[in-house]
Amino acid sequence: MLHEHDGRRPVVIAADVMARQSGVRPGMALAHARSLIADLAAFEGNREADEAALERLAAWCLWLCPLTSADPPDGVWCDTSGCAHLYGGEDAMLAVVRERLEALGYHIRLALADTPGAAHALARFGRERDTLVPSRGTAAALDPLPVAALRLPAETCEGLIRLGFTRIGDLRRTARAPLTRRFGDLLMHRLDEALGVRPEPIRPVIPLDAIRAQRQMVEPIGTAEALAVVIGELVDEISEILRQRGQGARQLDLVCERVDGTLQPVRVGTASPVDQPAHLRRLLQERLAVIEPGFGIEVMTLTVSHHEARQTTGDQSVLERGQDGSGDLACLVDRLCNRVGASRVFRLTPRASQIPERAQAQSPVTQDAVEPTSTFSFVRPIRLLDPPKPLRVEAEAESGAPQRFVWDGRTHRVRGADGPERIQGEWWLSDSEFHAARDYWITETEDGERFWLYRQGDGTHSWTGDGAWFLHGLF
Amino acid sequence: MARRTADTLALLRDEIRRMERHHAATEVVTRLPTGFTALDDRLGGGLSRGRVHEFLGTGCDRALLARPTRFVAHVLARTPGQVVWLAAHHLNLHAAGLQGAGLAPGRLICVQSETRDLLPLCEDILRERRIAALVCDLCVPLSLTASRRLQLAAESSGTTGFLLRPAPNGAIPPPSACETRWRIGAARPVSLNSVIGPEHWRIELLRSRDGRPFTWTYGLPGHATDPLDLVSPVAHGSVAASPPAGDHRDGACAA
Repeated sequence: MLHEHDGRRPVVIAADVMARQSGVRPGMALAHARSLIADLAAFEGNREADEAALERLAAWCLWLCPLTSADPPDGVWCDTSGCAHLYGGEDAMLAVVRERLEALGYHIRLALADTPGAAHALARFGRERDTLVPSRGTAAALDPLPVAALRLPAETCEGLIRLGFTRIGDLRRTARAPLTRRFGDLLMHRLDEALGVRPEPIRPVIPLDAIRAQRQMVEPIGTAEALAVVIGELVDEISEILRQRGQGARQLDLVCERVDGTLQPVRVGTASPVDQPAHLRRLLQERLAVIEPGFGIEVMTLTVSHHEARQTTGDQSVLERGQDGSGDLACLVDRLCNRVGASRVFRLTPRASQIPERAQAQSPVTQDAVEPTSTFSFVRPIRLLDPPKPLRVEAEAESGAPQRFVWDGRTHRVRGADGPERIQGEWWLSDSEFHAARDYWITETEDGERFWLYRQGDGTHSWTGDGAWFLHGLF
Repeated sequence: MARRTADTLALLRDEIRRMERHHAATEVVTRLPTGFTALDDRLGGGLSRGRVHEFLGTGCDRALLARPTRFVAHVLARTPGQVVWLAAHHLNLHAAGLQGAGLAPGRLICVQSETRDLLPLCEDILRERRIAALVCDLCVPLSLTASRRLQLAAESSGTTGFLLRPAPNGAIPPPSACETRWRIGAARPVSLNSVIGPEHWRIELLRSRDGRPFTWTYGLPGHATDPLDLVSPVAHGSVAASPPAGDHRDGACAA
């Protein structure tokens, strides 16, 4: 529990979960709190230190997105426009944020909304622990919240409640002029900011040791060519600094400040540390399409938000200049990753498993392709149906081979069959696979088509499977 | 005099070609061998590099395209370099099957994109010089203009494009500007015993920019790691000599 002196007496300003369970609330007199809990651990609060820590936390959040800002006394704003795809969607991004912050020991509430004001309100007054407001759903999400969620002074809130305005929805549906006359401009400013009618720029934190370059334009620019020229200059400056320090960029943030004061962030990542200007320029120019210049861009800032030491051994520099183009291939992979999302660019690598659909994994593309070491002794189709499609087998031979089956609305007569190849379930993974077995058959129909079929179970014991047939691929 | 006219004409043709495709004016079109001997002979060494080729399936395979995929893998197995495999849906390639077709899965860079981004992405990747080929599971309709763009992109970089075109309802897609169009499927087996013997392929060249349509029938020994090492004797032996296959080799039935 923390306390501070409010001029008359020491009051509680923050309490942990245990203290709250015993009835201690912020705003309570320290003496009162001590009477509730005999062995209360009370420390004097330090607002300056708290704010400094909040600034540090905002700077720490830069891994998430290029624009973060401390929102005293207890919040951090992150402008995640154009970043969610890097984590595989907004849900996944919130999950990652929660996991990382909880690992640091914070109790957090998250809200993702179109405007900083709405996110602020929902994080503090929302019903859920994590709120995700769909685009253009801001007003509906804000309506049921109390007016205190609008970052208003305490006396304004009290005045509003006395007049009968308890929820934001009430404010939104009433005439604006009388309220402004009574409570001043701030009330309607806050409401407009939360609804996104009025832009609210956040003041981004800048890490102290960041490598950055900035260009301020004499005239606002708006064409793609002009932006590309400025990007080229910024990249040249950045890569010169990177080269001097022996570092390579892993993540770059380009922030464009428009004439109307809003910021347009663009973030690109690379798979390995890069200091080649051509490579970085290409990555940024691919993302030019996401910048909306509006009436023009005045200031462009390029920041290296994550960099790593480059291994400057002789071998690598030869490779990058060499004819095999591995340097350019890295550029291609980075461009693809930034375009479709890093998780959707991968290599297929073999995995030790008997079950065909588990026998491969998706691994990130690195410079050196891993050649598979295992050799497969059985033939496998080049494409698998995922999931396997159920199929009706009308006649089976004595050996268990299918003789006639229906697929694609037609009856196929089997001319020849090869099998069975029995694959046992991986009992070390789950109990349900303890007895499971599949019998795979390669069957050739009279038309010459080859099907890869399997039957669940060994055909004799019911506990190994129900005997249903599936098509798993074609040869 | 006639000779000089011919020379002038050749010069003019060369000049026009240079204006049309300034980068490839004097460049000889190199070929990617397919590994099927008779087919390579007919095509003058194989599929042309730096062009776009499209592949259709037939029968039950027309949506999954297993045989066209194996054909493409056979061709790619014979050329070095990285291959980008692009799909709009879940990529259902099987690493062990690729290995069996001779293409090391480590050479593939697999990319899954949104359906609406598929064609622009295809074009961008085809402009990349440092990869050997792009294979695309093209599940969207391809207009004549779009296919022309892809073809120009491939020509500008020398990267070969392979479009695998599933047709769940069995319809042949409208004509495109691609260099060749193939349909690869199964042929009726000739032997009547119930042992799984050689695999029978029917390879149809439906359309080609510089040649007539043609059809081949091949017998591939099954269950071998690289079946094409053994293909020639079988192709010119039992299968080629048999009457039904012989009809196909005339190439008359291809449309």
